[in-house]
Amino acid sequence: MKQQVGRIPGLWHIEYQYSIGAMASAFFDRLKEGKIVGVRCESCDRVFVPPKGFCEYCFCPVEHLVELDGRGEIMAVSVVTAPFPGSPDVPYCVAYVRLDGATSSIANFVRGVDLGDGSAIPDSIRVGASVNVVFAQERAGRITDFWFEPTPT
Amino acid sequence: MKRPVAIVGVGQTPYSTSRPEVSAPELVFEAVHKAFAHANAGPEDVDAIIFASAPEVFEGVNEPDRWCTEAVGGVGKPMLRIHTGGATGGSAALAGAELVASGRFGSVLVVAMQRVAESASAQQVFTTIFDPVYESDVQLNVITAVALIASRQLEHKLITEDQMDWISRKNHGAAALNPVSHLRRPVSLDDVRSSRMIAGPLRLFHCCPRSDGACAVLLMGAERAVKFRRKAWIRGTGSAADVYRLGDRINDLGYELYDVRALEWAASIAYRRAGITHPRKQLDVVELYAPFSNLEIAGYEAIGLAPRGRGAELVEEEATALGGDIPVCPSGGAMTSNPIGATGLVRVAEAALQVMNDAGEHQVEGATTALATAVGGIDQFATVMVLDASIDGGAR
Repeated sequence: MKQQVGRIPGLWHIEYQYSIGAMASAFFDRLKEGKIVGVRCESCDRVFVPPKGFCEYCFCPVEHLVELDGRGEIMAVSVVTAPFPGSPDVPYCVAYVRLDGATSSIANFVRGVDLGDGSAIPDSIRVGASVNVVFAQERAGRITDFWFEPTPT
Repeated sequence: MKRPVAIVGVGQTPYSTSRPEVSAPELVFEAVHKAFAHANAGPEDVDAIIFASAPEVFEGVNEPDRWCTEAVGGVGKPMLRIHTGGATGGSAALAGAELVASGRFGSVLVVAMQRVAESASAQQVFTTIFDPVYESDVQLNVITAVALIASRQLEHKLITEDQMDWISRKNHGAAALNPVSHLRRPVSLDDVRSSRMIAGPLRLFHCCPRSDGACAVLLMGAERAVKFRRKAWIRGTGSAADVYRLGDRINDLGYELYDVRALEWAASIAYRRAGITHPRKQLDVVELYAPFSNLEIAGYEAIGLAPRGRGAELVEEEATALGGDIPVCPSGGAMTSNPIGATGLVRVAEAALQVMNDAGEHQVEGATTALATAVGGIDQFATVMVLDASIDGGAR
């Protein structure tokens, strides 16, 4: 007789406290004030957004914070139509945006656009489109304190 | 390689969503047992073991190398674990080859395992591989990250959705000939086009499945390899890493977001060591690690099958189909079976089977030189291995 095989349920539920360092702490503190900052490497002039404590190109510590004006360009974008655990209601939009004055690009949600059924990307948020940073009214010191919206034409 | 190294046997479990009839060690044992049978070898032929698996959050068992030690015949032998995300299996094969080439060990057994679908959601697991400070809250996962890459490829007119569809049809068609493949049903272009959108522009059939499986490869130094019947000689290897965040790869060092530059760097090292100067001419078959259609086209450029920006020409020429001048993934590839941490080793095993002339229905006729690649962590880690039917690479 063929053996029936079973399964045993499991669950990992472990709480963490991530050490984010001085640069990310500065980023989130400024974010609460409604500002976006990056860090400039004084050796190569690259501006990293989001900021980190070192430049891997020059391999030196960096700490010179610079404020950006919150305008940028969509570098990569996707409208997500399949729900994943923990994700917002579909459809929703995520993008990498290079803010004016930054060397690197930062990921966040894109809002303020009718995504329809999510099957096509509206022209206003295609790769190359201009977007603005919009801050949440209530800010918690997390990356979700802001998002991007198309720049009004 | 300082000392020639050959693969003398490979073993693969069938890949599927679930294999409830075996525990993780039993799954691993199955792959090792098959590799020994293929090589006509046994545990006594193994000097050291490399065990490989990627995020253990998939299995929900921490340190699976402990769980699987007996299943790989590890008791009393040197054993270590390697983990470089999706490139894990490739990194493990490269490390094993170096350990043998250095003369430290006469043989190394490389074993890789992953059970992606033991967890309720692979993408929920993948959210935890992104930067917890700046990116996890944005719910980036592998599918959304690859979709972001695809958006830029499309906008820059390097690929079309039709070309992505063709890649899916090619790989699903090939997989139907591979008895261990997870997905084994050919799909039409209409099937791909009408499959549901997951994260634009990626549709269901542009994406790999969640697979469960294990793979084992037995490596031998030349003096011991000669007594084994099957041999795939390692002619050259290379590997490289890239930056963590995708946002740091856009217009960086002359590369674009979609350039799989870690793979390009790894390939240039492997090609130099192997004496490959014209990959499309000198390689007979490629097992490319590309779990998504758009990444396969970018991969063609990274491994030099086409100049940068012109990978899609291979699609238009249908050059990479089984029967084309440079077949890519005759096994169906990562798109049709993706046990993440094992997938890189599966590429090595499949490339070895090709040069052993032992690949069965998906054999590329007359293949003597094959390439196996792996990429992991959204193209962050890459490995490349050139395999050859003869010890001197046919003196080419």
